[in-house]
Amino acid sequence: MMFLTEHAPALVIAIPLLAAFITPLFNKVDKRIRNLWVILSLVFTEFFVSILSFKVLGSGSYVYTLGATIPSLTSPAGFPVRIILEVDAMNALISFIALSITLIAAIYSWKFIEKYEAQGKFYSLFLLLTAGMMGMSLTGDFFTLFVFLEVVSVSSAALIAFFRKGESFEAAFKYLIISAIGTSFLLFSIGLLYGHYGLLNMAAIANGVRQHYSFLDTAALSLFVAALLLKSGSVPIHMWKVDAFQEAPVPLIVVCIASSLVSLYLLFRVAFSIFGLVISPILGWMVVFLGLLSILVGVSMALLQNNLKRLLGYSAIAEIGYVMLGVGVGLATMPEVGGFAFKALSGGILHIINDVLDVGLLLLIAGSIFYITKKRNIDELGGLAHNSPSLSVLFITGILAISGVPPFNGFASKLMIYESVFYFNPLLAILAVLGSVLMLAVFVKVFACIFLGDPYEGVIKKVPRSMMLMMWVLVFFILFLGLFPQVAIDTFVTPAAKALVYPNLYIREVI
Amino acid sequence: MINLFFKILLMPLIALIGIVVGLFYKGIDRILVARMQSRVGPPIIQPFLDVKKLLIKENIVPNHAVKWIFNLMPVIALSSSIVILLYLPLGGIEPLLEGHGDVLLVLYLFIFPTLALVLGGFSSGSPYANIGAGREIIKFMSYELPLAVVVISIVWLLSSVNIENIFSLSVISSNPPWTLVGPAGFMGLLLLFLILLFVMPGELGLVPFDAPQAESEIAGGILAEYSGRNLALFYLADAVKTIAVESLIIALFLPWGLSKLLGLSGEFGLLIDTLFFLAKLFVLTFVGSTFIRVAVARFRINQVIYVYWTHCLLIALCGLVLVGVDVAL
Amino acid sequence: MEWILRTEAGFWNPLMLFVSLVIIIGLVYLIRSFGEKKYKKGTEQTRYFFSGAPAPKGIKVSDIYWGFFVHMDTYYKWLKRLHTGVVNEYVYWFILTLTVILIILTLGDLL
Repeated sequence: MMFLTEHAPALVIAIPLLAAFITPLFNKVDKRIRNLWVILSLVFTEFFVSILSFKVLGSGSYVYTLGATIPSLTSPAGFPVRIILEVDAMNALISFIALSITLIAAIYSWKFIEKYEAQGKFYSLFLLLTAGMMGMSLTGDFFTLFVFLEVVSVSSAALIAFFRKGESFEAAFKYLIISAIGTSFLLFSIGLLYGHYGLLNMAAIANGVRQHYSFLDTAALSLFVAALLLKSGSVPIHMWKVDAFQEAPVPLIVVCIASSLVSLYLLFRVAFSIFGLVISPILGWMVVFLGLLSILVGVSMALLQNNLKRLLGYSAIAEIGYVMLGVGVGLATMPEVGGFAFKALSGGILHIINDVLDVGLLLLIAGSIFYITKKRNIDELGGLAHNSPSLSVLFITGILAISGVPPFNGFASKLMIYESVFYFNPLLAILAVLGSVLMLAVFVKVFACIFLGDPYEGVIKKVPRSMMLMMWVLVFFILFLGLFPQVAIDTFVTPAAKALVYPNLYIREVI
Repeated sequence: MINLFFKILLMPLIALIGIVVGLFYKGIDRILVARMQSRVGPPIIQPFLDVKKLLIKENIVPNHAVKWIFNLMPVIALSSSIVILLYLPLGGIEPLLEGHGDVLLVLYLFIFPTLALVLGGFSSGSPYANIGAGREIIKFMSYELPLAVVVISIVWLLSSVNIENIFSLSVISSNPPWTLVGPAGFMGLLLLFLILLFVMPGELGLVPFDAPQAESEIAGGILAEYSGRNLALFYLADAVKTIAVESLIIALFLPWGLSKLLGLSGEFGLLIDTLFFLAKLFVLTFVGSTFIRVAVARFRINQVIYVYWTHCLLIALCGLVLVGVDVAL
Repeated sequence: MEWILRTEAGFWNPLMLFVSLVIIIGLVYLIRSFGEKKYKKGTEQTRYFFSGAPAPKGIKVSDIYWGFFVHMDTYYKWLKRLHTGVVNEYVYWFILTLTVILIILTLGDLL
């Protein structure tokens, strides 16, 4: 048992990676064994992530050096060498969220992609994508970050083209170009930092930045910020996200949302822990401004859409705007993050959890609708509430949760964000409230189009039980977080926010 | 624990008071409108008789309606309107659920009656109801922006004074904003109050903002297919929502009680405060509902958006800027 | 367990809202039960009212926001022009954002 907890960070990355390469062997044997293998490996990874999270929440950050004699031997010669995974409360939270939603998407995809070809490749790439995401969220080293980011990009691009129609290839191609450009600029920035400090470890570079900050570091920071904003899909570089989501299978879209949030987490890690002590407030205010723009543009474009997946893509962009708004206010007041700013930061981090749950639920419902009717355009649907009232109940829950209506979970995080950002500028809170109201309007139209009206005339299959079960699991978590928000905040969000706000602790773990 | 139990027992009492006072003021409103239009008008207890009549009628559910949503929405509309009352300070006493919800919660709870109306309209399966429900959402989108500006401006003004929990409604109603500002802020607060008087007919679906329920254009709009006990619940929800909106306006801008002024306390002071609160409700009903209803015509739906997002928003932002100038000085 | 969510300037207790909603919904169902339950099904009364004519075809529910789009026409024309779908333009946007961030951060350091 001690062995497992000691090596948990490495196992979290290694298990999906290994499983991804063994999946094609199982694919030759039998379909059900392959599906069971995929889900079992994800369950194992979840087990290890939970152990890791408990350990980090209980006894502080955990540093793991790959390949050393003992895991905490980070600097045998006075500077960090080898790949170091540094896990603090923020890391653990993000990896737990990302992995949980991936597990739910994997169980959902058992029935969803049952009738299509190339399922073995789907699952193999899916596990590779999971390994990449876990690597991205747990790493403490820039080059490992680059490698896992590439793994995520390439596997997502391949998976987007799963349906193998003309539009799917176009979407995958667009995604590949955009990610390649983003990762190139990221590599350029890593190169700049390496040239200045001669080290690739995040904590070591943070140590160097707080002592020898210069214009080279500003250039590296701006390249980083731009590349990570591109990967997470904030306005004004959000258009690729919607085009890619339109053609991807629904379980993949859910995992892509998780990976956009992991990229956003990386942005916060770089801005808070590495450059936190030397940046000016203007970076934080810029993130706030882009967040507000994301909310408004995302919601405005969502009002126009008639294609369900595109609409959900724009709503995902709007929800990321809320996270940027909350955390940006915290960033603007670094290094002295006081009462209001700390609450805004906590609200932003809580909103990450809520965003994944709410948009995930709506996406899974959209996938079910596509499964039972084979239609994507809301104009062609109608009256599904007569056939499947349970889907309409789930959809109403999703609408209320994503708009931030009490007593669901969206309200808790949005309340924290509104009641903290108004202190800095009342316009921020006003526009955020407007965004939430418009989001409700978007989804009421969708609900009325799809579920209400005359009964649906086409052929309808039944929604499989495993898919319904996953949606009810998400609703359970939505209700739980909605009814007991302070418990969640005290347990995960406040330690995560504290881990971001004190960069000196981050540096001290490694050096 | 006992406190909690006591509060739970008081909830139906507040519900009943809200319904009775709401219907009463609806009756006063109708008779005043009639007199202003040179008619005799119905007796003041007419709304009570209306509800009784509606409860006797048949509850017709259309063929193509989604039955469970159709029957559930009136219940949700009335319940949420009553629950809003539990969080507002009525008649000079603190809100019943003080310490459990603040003004942003009230702002969001106001979504529920509108949402129930809209979903009920869409689930009726009638083209008139669809159009009415669409107009209702557009109107709802439009008036939320000036409303948010006003509420957040008041709270922001309070944040310049060092008090705890400035979003709490009992704190807001014990610190009238007029006393915290100089002349520039006074003008700003007047502008914000004016905007709230514009938002009130929008929230309650009265002329000039009653495009969703336009009798002459779309034959009753959202409520075209509702009848019987469902329509009675929507009628009651409308009455209670009037009281809720007016109580919110009073809590934000007119929170004074007479008992402190006259130096009374105890039960007699409570009585004087309640009567003063009812008088304030009457003034707001007259200005926001009766007078505007007989004076102007109905706006088209894109004019509704124009009025709220151009005129009202500009005035509200001017108010915010004036208050901000005052805070900075 | 802490039931109330406390922010710096407000509070929120979801359980009290849930409890009060349950109680009030019970009360409202009680009021509703005083009403008449029955109605004549399958007659002319249960058809939707459109003065006897059938509903017009061609009006979709997804068009309900036309009033909003008519009002915000200029804004939406501009917004639709931005979202072209051409990858080259996305890359141009990225380069533009990168430049703006670089300039702003440099200015932020100098000041």
